[in-house]
Amino acid sequence: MKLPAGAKSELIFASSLFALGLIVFVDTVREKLPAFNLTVSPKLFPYLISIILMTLSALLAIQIIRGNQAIPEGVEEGEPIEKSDFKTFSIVLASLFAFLLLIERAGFIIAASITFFGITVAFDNKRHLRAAVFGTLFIVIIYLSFTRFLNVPLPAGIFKGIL
Amino acid sequence: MNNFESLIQGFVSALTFTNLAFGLLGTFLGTLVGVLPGIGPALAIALLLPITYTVSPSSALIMFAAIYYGAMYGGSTTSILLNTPGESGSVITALEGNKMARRGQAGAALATAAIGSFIAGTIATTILAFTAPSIADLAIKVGAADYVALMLVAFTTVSSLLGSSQIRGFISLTIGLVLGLVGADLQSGLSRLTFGNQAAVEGIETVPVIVSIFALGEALYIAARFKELGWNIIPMKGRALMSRQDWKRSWKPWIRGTFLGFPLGVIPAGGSEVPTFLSYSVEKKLSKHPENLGREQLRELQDLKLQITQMQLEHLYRYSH
Repeated sequence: MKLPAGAKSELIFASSLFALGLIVFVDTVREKLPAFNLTVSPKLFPYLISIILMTLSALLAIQIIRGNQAIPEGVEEGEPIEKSDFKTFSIVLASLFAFLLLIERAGFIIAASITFFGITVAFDNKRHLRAAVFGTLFIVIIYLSFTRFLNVPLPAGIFKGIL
Repeated sequence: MNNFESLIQGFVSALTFTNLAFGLLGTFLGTLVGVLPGIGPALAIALLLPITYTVSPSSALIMFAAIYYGAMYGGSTTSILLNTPGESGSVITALEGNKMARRGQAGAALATAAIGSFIAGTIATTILAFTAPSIADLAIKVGAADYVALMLVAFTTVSSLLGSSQIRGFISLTIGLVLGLVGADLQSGLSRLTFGNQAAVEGIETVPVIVSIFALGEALYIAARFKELGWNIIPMKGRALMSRQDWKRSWKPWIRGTFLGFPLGVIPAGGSEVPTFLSYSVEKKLSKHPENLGREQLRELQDLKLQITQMQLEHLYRYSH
């Protein structure tokens, strides 16, 4: 059987939804119920939701195999869909992950500056030095206005006590 | 007559130069903070709370209200221009307002949002001033069961109305429910989907979810399409004014939105998401061209939020006396 174009990636999506449903189900089975009685078990909704999600993803998979595919926003039906730009996409994603990893350890200023710089690189900015300088300046201003003016503590990281 | 006198008394104390100046300052600061992506009205008030410590109670209350309205307006700006709502109530504004902006009608979208909020907010305040006690009595009778039913209607209708594929809409709804499961169950303390992580026990807040889905989703989407589309900056054409047609199209949704939002805003547990989603599905159903009509409806959503503040302010007022 030949699958319609683009169906494969959508099937991966549908199966990851199924996996998500399965995770919810297994997690619910594994949790121990508290000792006291409740009229509605706190497991009822997780079970319901996981079963609904698994059923819906199975139905979605059937629809995809039958050729009913999602149409990206802004694309008319029947138009060819361009291949995704994985280079830009992965640099942006990596910058976001760098933020997640650095925010607690290195602090907001470093984490956000690196993320900002990474994203300008991803979007083809040629003037790296300028992007780095202005990006860092912008982040420092944001940091100071939050911590000083609004009294919202952002993770200081290695600048603790200095800024 | 006593109520009416109190109302007039309220105007007397509000309409002094100092208090009006505090109102202006509040809206300015509120808009400034509300424009920051991901920061909604409630957070804006919390952030600016310290500023009001030094002023008299009535000026502080006026400033709170002004900050809230300002932040709401700031929030609609980011929703429309950046597709980044700051709280659950502006999600619909982002869904449709941003589509309008992409079509080059950003000015009209912003104007509709602002004027719609203003009109509905004014109507709601007026009704509230006269009928608050009787409506509050009614609202208390609305129980948890009714509220769950209402949520079910609001979210399922919207999931089935959005986009062309019903099954994908319902899948989105279910993913949302899964996110809502994370954390300790309020009744039993059973921790669900936490995988031993302490931070996850408290559950996932709405704002991070909204920002991840809208702002990060948008960034990643643009990145994935960069080769194809390149830098595609949408010009902000047209002034922020509504044409005669815009008015004609919008006034009915505003009024309907107000009357949908007002009673729901009075219910103690009510947030702004249910009325906004309900209003959206009502307008989608009533619309003759559902594909491109969705847009003006989003505005009334704003208004509903206003009513909720009014209720909150009233509580504040009662506690402070």
